[in-house]
Amino acid sequence: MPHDSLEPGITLQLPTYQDSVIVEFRLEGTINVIAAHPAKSSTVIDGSGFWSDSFGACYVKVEFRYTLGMSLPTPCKRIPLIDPHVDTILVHGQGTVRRYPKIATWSYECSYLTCYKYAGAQNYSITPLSATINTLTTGATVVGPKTILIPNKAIVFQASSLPLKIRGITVPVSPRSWKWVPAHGGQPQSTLSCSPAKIQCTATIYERGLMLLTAVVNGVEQVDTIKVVGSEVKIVPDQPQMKFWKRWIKVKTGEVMCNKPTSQRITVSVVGTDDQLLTNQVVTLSLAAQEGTAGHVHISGKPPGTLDATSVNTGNSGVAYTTYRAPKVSGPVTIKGITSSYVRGSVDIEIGVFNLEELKPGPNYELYGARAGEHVENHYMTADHKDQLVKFAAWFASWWRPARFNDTSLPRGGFYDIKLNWDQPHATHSEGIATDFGVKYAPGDSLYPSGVIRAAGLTWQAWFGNIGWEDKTAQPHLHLGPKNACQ
Amino acid sequence: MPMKFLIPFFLLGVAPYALAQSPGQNISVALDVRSVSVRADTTAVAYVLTVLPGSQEALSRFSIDAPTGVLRIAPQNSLWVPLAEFQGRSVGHWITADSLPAGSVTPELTYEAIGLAGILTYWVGGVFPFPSVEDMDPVGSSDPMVSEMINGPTVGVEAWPANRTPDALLTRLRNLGQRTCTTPLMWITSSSLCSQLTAYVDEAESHRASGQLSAARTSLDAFITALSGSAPGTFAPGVNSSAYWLLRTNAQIIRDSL
Repeated sequence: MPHDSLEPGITLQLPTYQDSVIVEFRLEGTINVIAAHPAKSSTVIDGSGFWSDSFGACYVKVEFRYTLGMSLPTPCKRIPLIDPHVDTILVHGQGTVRRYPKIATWSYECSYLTCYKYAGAQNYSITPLSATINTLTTGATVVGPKTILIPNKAIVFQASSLPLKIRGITVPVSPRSWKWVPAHGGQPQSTLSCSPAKIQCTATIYERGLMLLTAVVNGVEQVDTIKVVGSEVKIVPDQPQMKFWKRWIKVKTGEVMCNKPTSQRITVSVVGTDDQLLTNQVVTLSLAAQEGTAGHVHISGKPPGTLDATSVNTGNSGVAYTTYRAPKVSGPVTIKGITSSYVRGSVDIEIGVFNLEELKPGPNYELYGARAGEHVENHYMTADHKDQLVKFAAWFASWWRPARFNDTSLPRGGFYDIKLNWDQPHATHSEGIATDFGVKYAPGDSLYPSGVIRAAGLTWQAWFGNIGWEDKTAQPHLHLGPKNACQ
Repeated sequence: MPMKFLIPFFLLGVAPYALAQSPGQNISVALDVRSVSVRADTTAVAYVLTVLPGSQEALSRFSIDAPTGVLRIAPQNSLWVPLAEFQGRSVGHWITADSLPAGSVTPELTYEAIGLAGILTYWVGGVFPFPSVEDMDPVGSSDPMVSEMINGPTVGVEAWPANRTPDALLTRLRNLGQRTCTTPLMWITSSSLCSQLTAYVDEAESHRASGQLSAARTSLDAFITALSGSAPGTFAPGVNSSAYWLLRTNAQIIRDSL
């Protein structure tokens, strides 16, 4: 803390703390108060300041002050000097360190001249003290350091710290988030009732995994984990991703136009805490499609596909198999398993095509057809189809006007159920290889001239594939399809 | 050649397709080769199509095989869309946004490609409603050029032969002449003219072999004259536009190389 010889007062900024923090203030050094008049005496003072009997007040004292919390070395002009001054307090917000004021004197005291000059230096520091995040559990069976058994019931996790107190002050702990991460990596079966900022989290844990607590402990964001171990149903698909069942019929006749079912083997086992296979375990399997995924904003009744067997016995080998058959819509599906003793497990399988890209707005075309609450991501397609549309739009814009593209596919493909029924029509919009081309100047406007529509369709056919016509809709369009829509 | 002659001739050519029932194939046209012009190693061909009276469908598109690719193609305007491919196949392809019912005549449809005039396939498609989305063929098993268009032979641009010597080109000219004179083309209906044309080629070949290049050129001039009508822009009796432009252009190329 610098000063000049006549003015010892100074104010400096301290680090700002958004969260409450226990800090140690430290002040070292003394100030020499030098008598500048024979009527006065020189002296040396510490951070607590200089006591003036004339005014009954303390001068040249040092004060640490925060929005919340302060430290003022005391008492004033103590003999012997206290150097260094050290204090531990809880602070929060913005802070300053201030030395003030210079010693007051009456004007006549020193013949109207200066009574005191000042020399010397004081150094200060502010240091947040160390504390470590610590998650406590209540109601769980602890089997090791930060490790508990699957409780299969509600237990309480509590955010805490090590140590709990520093020099008598309780360490501030502010949880930021509670997160349950199942060991199987899929959709959790466990349930949490945990607000991010709450110091406690009640959770019903049914599976192996990690409870992750992120909290600010004495001003520092830290992460702690509690590992949950125990017996588990293991459900392992041959592939984590698979294509949807591609099938559609001609509604008028019922004729099956395309039928490409997809399936894969599912391996089921039950393992103990030590990961050893448990034999002759009966596992009941169930399916749940995750709603609100893969571009389907509308929810309820999403088909999850089917399992050839919904109950399997792991037998003497400890392993059982069944077959999962994908639905016609995309999105993650969870396969759950549970034994008669409530050992559980689950796995997620992603249904869809995974090579689709979004067509972003461009100068030669307009995108439309997204419907809030139903499907809002309706222009996903393969890279090849994107190139086709861009080329087609560039031509059409130069020849007639900017193109208007309605639906292509959802982000992961699958049935694009415009009737919100998880079914036809629009079946050929399942793989990002077909797009509807609007043939109106604008919604509610008249159609393009027939020759223009025809030329547009024939140009698409010549370049890229197949053309269909749809006029039984408020948005008549050409269907710009591939040569083979049932690949 | 007067149109009066041309139309009956092409009626013969398209008669088999008049029976076709598939949408796009119920069309009858007369295809007239208006000109063939050669520039360096490229050849440009101009066509005019007349939709014949009685054609059930209006004209929607015309295509000509272009095995060496298309360098230029016209017209390109609000009524005509010219393309250089059809589903990966190199063709000159014209799509019209115009209404061209029976009795209508197209503007000149031209394209230019590397090569020289040869006998190639053309396709013509009539206007028909696109299938509804539900009725679309899901696997695209049919080729629209086969299922939605009719086709026939005409003059187009084919690749230069590997052997471009005058001898080889004369042999090629003789073969082309014979094909135009016989079925199924019958582009030249005068048998005496056919014999005469062969004789001119033989003469040119003989003269060239003996080093009499001037005499060979004279024979080819006679070949061209025999194809031509008495007035500029007309053809000899029994010669249609396809035969004239095919043989004339190839004879001229050989003459210029001698």
